[in-house]
Amino acid sequence: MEEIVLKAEHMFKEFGATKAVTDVTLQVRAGTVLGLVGENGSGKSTISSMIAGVYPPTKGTMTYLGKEYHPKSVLDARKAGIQYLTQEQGTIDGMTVAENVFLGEEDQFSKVGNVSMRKLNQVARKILDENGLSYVDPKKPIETYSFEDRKMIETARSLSQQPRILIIDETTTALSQKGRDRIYEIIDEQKAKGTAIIIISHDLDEVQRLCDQVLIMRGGVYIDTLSGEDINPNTMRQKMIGRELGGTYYRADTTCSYQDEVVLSVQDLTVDGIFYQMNFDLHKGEILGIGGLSECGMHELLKTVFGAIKPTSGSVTLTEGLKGETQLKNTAVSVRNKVAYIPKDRDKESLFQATSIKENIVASCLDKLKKGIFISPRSEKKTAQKEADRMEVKMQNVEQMVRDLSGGNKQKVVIAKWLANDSRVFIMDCPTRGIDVGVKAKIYKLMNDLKQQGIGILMVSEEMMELIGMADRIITMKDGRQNQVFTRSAQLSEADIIAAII
Amino acid sequence: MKNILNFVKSYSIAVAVPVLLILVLLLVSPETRSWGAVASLLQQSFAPAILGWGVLLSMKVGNWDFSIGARYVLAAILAGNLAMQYSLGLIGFIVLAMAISIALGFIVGYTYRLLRIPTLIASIGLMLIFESFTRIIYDGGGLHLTAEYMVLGTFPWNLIMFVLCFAFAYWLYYKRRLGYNVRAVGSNATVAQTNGINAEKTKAMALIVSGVFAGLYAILSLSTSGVISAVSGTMGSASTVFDAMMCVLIGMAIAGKGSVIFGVYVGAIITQILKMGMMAIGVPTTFNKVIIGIVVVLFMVASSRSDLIVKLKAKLFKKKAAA
Repeated sequence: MEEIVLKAEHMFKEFGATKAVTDVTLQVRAGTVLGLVGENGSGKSTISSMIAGVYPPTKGTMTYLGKEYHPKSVLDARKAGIQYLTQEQGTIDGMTVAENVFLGEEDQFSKVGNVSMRKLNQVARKILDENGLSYVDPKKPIETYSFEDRKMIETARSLSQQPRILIIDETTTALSQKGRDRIYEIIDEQKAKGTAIIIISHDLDEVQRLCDQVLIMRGGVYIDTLSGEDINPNTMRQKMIGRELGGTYYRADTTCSYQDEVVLSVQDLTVDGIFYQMNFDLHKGEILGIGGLSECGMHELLKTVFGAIKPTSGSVTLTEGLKGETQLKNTAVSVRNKVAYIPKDRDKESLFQATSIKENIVASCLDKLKKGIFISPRSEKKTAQKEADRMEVKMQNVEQMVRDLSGGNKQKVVIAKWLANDSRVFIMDCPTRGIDVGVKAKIYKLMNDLKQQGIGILMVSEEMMELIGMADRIITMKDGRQNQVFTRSAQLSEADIIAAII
Repeated sequence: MKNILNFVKSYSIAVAVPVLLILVLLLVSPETRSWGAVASLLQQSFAPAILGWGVLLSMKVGNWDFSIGARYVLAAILAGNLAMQYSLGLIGFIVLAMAISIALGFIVGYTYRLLRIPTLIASIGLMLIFESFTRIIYDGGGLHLTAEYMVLGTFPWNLIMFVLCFAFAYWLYYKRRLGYNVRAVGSNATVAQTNGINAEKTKAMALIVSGVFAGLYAILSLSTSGVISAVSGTMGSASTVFDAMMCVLIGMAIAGKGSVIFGVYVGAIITQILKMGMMAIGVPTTFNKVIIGIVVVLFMVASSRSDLIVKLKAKLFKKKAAA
């Protein structure tokens, strides 16, 4: 049996009245991968954050390499040999690659407080080369590189410290397949070197592939530890949400069904350099999926349809706007005419993080809540409460700050906001990105309900199974152009879609 | 060769813009067409650039420090009067100005750190207190420096002092841990914090160290003018702060990939050119700030809305092609 590197016993973490982690015990062994799995808000990121020194535990003890361990900060944990990779960007604009590689640790290159850039660049060069990033120039500003390259630079920084424990917290979610493959290679290499790895992921296939043991959490509480054959998506899903979910949670029907009436018409829509000559109609009660590689222009297409990007040419027409046929020329017109947009990056593009759930939910429907020249606080609260309850947002109350919610609950708030505005068309960009199976199932059910009510949904997804599972028709895009249209059927497979987009 | 090319590229705009503006100034104002006038213009930009570097540290980390103007006035009045009263000589004046200015910086930095109130509120509160002191001490008479204390305001001493200050600012911003932390916190405080950088401490340190630059500014500006009055009216010192902020805003916009320390000096030159240019063409002083304000906005647009510039270029070239 491998050596136990870290033991966390009877761990508790409370944020005010919220109990994020309650009495969880775990241990990690050298050269093994431990998966932490649970719904959004289950406490898995909180416990790994305590190990990484982000938060001190409210109660509990940690033993690291046989000694009691109380990290005071991330830097403290890092110095002890615990590296923490997250989903968010961990590098800083306005600084060079080398400066980012040694962020917070530049003292090792200083004499009498003077940082030697020459030495810093040299060592950074070596680290980048060792991690397959020889094409990265350590002297260049970090912002000249893509998100993925930056994540890889951050990973190289962590690995250069020869960690004893590597925590990978949903890092793969934001990466392309190439980036993910590189992370998988790193995990294999580190495992062989005897590093203990903790991985948090919502991709259960990924967890099955990588982990030796999987610890399941629900609502901040330990549920079970799986190993061997038990590590499979069905068992994990069932334990995560505490009930049988069935093999599939997409639409049960396999036929294309929508009404004849068109709700939104896109004609010759072009944004030079991004996408060209897009033509399609969205019908009442239709889920129209758009698929392609991440850079094919599909995300920008949705933004343009909503009015957030001005097209070079073409038009977007809402057939039943407030004043009849309406051109969606900007976002204000779209919102006024009950068009909803759920962006891919909810944190940056959709939520006011430092305000309450209530204020976020009512933001799109203030006109509806007006009484004379006043916005009634009572109606605000009532509307927010109603929509939050409808979406089953896990919260203390509607006054809670949105930034304190988990990813899945934040997405519920985004959807609740558009439901509060009585939206008639939904534009959804990767609506289940970075979300656990429980919330995913909830969103799919909601989409189906909206469809039954005759609402049109235009959805982009990077998950082929999501498109196949939910859409009536799928338009594929390649290099900024529309290339094929698939109609919902039991025979439609991932291979058909992939063949069209690559 | 590649490095030289990159260097030239990095500083091309920061050098080209003031050169162009100087040429325009020479065109519109015949009396400025002499080396002496241009040299004087460059020298007049020394002091605002020095204060600008102090303000840069604060602005970069997200501090709003309105006290720096009042701090410089108070330090100058106290140091100059004490030095003359006790015949401390030039060195004594320099030491006192620096010590008092740094002490005032400590007061602002620690007020922010201990009370944990926004820098805007802390600095405005302290600014009002410091301004009052300038009116209380020496019966509000300010300071009239005698000639022996004004050596640093003459050429080449002012140039030497400026070069030393430039080197100090550059060293602090690019070579010291503090500068490193300031840049990190200013760009992304959350990531900086998760990398072990104490953002609050860095913000307080930026306020304290800005005291060094306020002291240097007091020495150079007093050595040039020899006179400083007590601050009259509420927030009378704010115009000094706004002038320095303008240098920083233009400097940040114009620096591009080059050094922002150099950019701030260029910002100071541009501000001086505008002031001289407006005088030369007879713009009433009431409109000076309006024009400078418009120029700052234009620089900000040029630096932060590259898409607009690209569109403008595309339109211009389209028109030319069509013609």
